[in-house]
Amino acid sequence: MASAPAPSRVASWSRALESWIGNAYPTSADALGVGRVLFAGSLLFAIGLPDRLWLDALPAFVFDPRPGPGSLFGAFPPAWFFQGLRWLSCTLGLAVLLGYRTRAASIGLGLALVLTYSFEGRLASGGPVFLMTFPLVMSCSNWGAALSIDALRNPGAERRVSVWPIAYLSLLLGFLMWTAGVSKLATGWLEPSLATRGHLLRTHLDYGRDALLAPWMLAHAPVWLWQLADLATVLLEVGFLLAVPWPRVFRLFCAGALFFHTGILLVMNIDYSVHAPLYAVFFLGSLDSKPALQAGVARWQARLAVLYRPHWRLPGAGWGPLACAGGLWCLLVRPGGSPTSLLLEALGLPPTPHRGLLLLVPGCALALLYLGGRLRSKRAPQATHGVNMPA
Amino acid sequence: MSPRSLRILFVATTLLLFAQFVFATRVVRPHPALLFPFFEGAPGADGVLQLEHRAVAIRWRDGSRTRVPAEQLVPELPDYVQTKAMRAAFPKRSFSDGSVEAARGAWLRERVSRLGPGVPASAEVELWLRSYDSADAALLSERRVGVIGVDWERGSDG
Repeated sequence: MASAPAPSRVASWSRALESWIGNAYPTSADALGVGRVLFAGSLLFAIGLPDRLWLDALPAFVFDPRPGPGSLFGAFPPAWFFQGLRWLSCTLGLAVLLGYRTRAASIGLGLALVLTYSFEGRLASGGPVFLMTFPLVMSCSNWGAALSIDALRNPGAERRVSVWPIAYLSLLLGFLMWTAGVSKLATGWLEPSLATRGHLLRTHLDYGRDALLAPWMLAHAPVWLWQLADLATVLLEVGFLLAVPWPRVFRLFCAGALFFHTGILLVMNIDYSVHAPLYAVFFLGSLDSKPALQAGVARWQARLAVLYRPHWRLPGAGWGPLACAGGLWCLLVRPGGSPTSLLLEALGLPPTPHRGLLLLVPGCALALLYLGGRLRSKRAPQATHGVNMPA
Repeated sequence: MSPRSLRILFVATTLLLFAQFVFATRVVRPHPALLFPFFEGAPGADGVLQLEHRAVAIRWRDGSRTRVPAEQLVPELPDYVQTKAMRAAFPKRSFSDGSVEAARGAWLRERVSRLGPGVPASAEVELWLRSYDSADAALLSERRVGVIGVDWERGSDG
């Protein structure tokens, strides 16, 4: 009897890739709804909508855009353009938060963020590109299927979600980190050159950044600590891409990155805290095992229903939620930072770097809980969602 | 999307991301680009860190004089943009011919006027090269390597 031909290596890889795309980050509509609220809530209330009104202070002869949407313009757009983009981002951000026409709102928000960051050219290092792409990619996941007005508008709609956007985001994040790591690797970060210290010294002298641990580190940190920082930075950033095929390892890298971003904020006063709520998307699957998730989502969905379709029969009751949304919109759209930044300022704390710490410290605590859970599960092995890649 | 379409999407994205990285590092960096900040090299690895600074020396009509860091001309900008903005407004090459073109001079006057209660008579933008000891950030030396100015009373550059 003739044996069946062995599958080719390409076919084997194709199957493994398909399996990874579909199974790497399994999750439910409820968990995706929580992820959506976390993303939009963080953007609106903590990170703050991007504010590029300051470009109006720059003269036309400074306008030197790199190739991209900004190069389609002949000069910096006027202030009203950026104000309009801010209003648009705020409206779309609130729509994503409440899950109103979620897919269109997510795409619109992503495009508005891309356009907002398109005009800095050589004045900035590129903007938070992972934040910009995040809603664009997640719009394909049907993350508005639960915990949303869309679920109220279409009560009979199927709650089927796509999980491939999360795998796609892991590929993007892995690559983004790799670009930073490989550039450092190619320019001598692993030589005994104390690159981290050199960059800290330059930002300290150029921009006067001397908050938190920066002065202490410049004055007292031993050489071995700087060399360790150089090595850890390159290993983490390059390793991110290598970890992409293995979701569990990738989550470990995300957890490590939270501590890495916290270290950068404490020492170099550079704020990458914007990534903290975005990394949560890779951990949403672990929410599904929590019994409280479904009940919690149902409870909040009911509250949303009261706001969306008021049951009380007072004249003009329908205008109440609209007035609330309008008031919230006015609070969020005003220049000068997010509500969190305003609160910090009122407490006498400068928003930079304290706002970043507010996002990163809870992120690190959750990462520690996750790592603790991983250690416990190692002692009591369970069924895994891991995907075996062919050798 | 079908599994086959997704497979193609993921493979194509991977190839495009690497192509974009090569394009950005070899040709020109698009903006925005799917890249994280590089933080290339090790500034001051040879023991000395050299930095450019720009300062603005202003003579007011009442005869008084002021010298301020150029970043003070654009206080509404975030700190990480102020230095780069002034480098873009007065790039190193603009110091070689010694003159300030009309648009640059008009903007300089508008910005300098915001600094004081008086009326500016003239302003000079100075380019300084400062050397710092990498070990303790001590200033080792500084020298003025370029200056360009505008005299609004005489209506001339130079």
